[in-house]
Amino acid sequence: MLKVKDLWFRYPNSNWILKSLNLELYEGETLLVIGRSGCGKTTLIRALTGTGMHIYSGEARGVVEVDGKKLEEYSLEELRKVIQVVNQDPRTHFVYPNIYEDLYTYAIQIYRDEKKATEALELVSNSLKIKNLFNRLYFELSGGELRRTVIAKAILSKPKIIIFDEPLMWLDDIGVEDYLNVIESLRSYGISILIFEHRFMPLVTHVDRALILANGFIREISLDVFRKPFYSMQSEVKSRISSDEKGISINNLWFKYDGDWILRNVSIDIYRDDAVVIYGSNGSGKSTLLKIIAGYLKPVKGIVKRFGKAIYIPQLVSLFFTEESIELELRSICRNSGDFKKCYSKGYSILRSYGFDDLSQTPFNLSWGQQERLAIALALIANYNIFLLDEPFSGLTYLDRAALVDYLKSLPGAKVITISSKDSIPFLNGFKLYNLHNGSIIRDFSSDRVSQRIDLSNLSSVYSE
Amino acid sequence: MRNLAYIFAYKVNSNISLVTRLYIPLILMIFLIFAINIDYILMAAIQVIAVFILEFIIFMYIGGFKRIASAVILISIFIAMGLAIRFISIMLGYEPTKLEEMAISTSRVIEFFFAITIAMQWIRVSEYRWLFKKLRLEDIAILFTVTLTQLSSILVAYSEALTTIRLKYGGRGLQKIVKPLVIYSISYGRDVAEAIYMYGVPEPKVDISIGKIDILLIVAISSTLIFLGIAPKL
Repeated sequence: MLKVKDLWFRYPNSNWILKSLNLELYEGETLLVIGRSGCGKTTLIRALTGTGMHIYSGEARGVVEVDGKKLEEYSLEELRKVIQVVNQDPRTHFVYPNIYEDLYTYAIQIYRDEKKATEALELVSNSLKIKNLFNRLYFELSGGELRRTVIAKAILSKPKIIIFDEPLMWLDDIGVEDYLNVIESLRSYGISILIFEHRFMPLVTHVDRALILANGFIREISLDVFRKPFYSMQSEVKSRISSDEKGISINNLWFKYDGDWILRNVSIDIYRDDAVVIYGSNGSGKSTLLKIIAGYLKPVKGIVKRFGKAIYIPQLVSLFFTEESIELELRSICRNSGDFKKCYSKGYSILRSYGFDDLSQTPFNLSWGQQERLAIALALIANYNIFLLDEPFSGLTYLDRAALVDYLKSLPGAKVITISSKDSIPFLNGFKLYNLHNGSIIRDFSSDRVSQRIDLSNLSSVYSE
Repeated sequence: MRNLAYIFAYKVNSNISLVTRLYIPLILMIFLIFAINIDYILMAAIQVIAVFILEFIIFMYIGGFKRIASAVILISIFIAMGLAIRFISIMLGYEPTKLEEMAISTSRVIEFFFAITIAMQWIRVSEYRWLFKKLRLEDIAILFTVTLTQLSSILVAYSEALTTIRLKYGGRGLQKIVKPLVIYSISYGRDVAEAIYMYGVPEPKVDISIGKIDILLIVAISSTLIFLGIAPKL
């Protein structure tokens, strides 16, 4: 169905990102492509669909054949009927905010006939169960609903191939389950599917083959070792003993937004060197709780006491950076300190000790994991000792997650991170787990008794073979 | 910021014609600019109150007045600036604007903002696109459509950036927010461009037929505004 032979690709004024890449996707096959952040997964998608050449003015060499015909022989209109892409951020797919209007006008564009368009939309909306979303605006939908709607849009043209770019990004457990069900439906229709995802564990039992993309090359790998359920990969863990000095104390906290109680009677004590993880589905109030702890939002009722300086690092970590180089970030942070020279020299050595040797590079070009680590290091330099990280694992590979957890554990101060999917829990060895559900928070001791640890050697072997 | 995002979002499926939905906010804006005469302070106050009642009724029909009301806090900055200028004028010995005149002017600004909000919430993005196309502004039509659709998502990210930078720099250096926002917007814009490449920008389907309810609404609102407009001159 899709044949790639000796594909090379580079952006203007850059080195080759894809180097002599070969790939075959057969009819009805589901193929998973994994790889570290920045390895070229999105670039490969751009090369396969032509956006790399037409939008980014990139240079491509080699052959891409879609359904037996070369990519360059397709008109854009023809191509849209054979291959479709679901981007990393599904919100970008909407031309009109109203779900029905967006899908209906797109169906008309394809079929150029109201009756055929209505029939196609009826069929797709029934099979993906999105009819109840028709009157809603796209930005009111949950991550799972958004993903389902965008997949509906992609299959409206009845393409033979669908490409997914990091489809599990931002999805909580319910959203992931929802997506996996949709994938099974697409497989039953015989559609060829190409999934690019670094959070691959939930997908391993839903794909036929897996490939790894690294250094511009692609090769087949076996994911058999990951085909057993997550929680069979468990081992013993010793609970981390933390200081008995409080870092954060929250008592009987209530918070209301738009008439609805988001947080109800939340009480929690976090000690000075505690590492805490708050698990909850999307929209459960995790970010709100972090912003209240940081002092940005005021609770309606209750008391929040911080015994230190709190910093909030957002889900989209790039929003944390304001300067064009790491050095300027350091200067900017130190300008707010009492002693610039002392702060700068301390900051310089902290950054170097955390692996940031080249201070002239821009923070915006770092990988997601590096950006998380840089944000934390800068906070450390500015003498923050309460670190609040909102879903830091969203853009990280499993190995990067493990590295970030180790990094966090090495830091002095209280660490609070939020997660929305259980597949991150195995990496959080030594963290105290709390569940946030219906506005209430409860301690989950299961993470102390049995750590659902993942065998990192298996993961490392996948990337290093 | 989140409330501001909702202001730009189409709100309701309505049986009212596009002609009426376009006419009402437009005529309200024209009235607020040209018809209110601050020299007749009592009449101006009645006019401002009447427009507010009209807008309130429309908002009740559209729904979501609460969100809009909370977004008005954003324009409270103008009110605060007005009060500050008045206070400084008094301090410097200048004759300040009369308090009642200031109140009328501020109310006009808020009501003008409400009229824009009505236009945003009552007219679909696709209908704006159709209007621009009719005005032979095809490129602007696409640009406007996509921008308006994506604005809500972008504003939510902006709100997150504002929180982060305020906490990072302790309330100082808010101007530093510009760089991450520009970079985010460019990157988001590229993703939107890729999606448009693969999906296109479908033509909207717009119906401009007028029903009895439209005629009734246009006549009722026009007569009310004409009466309010000419009353001071009588």
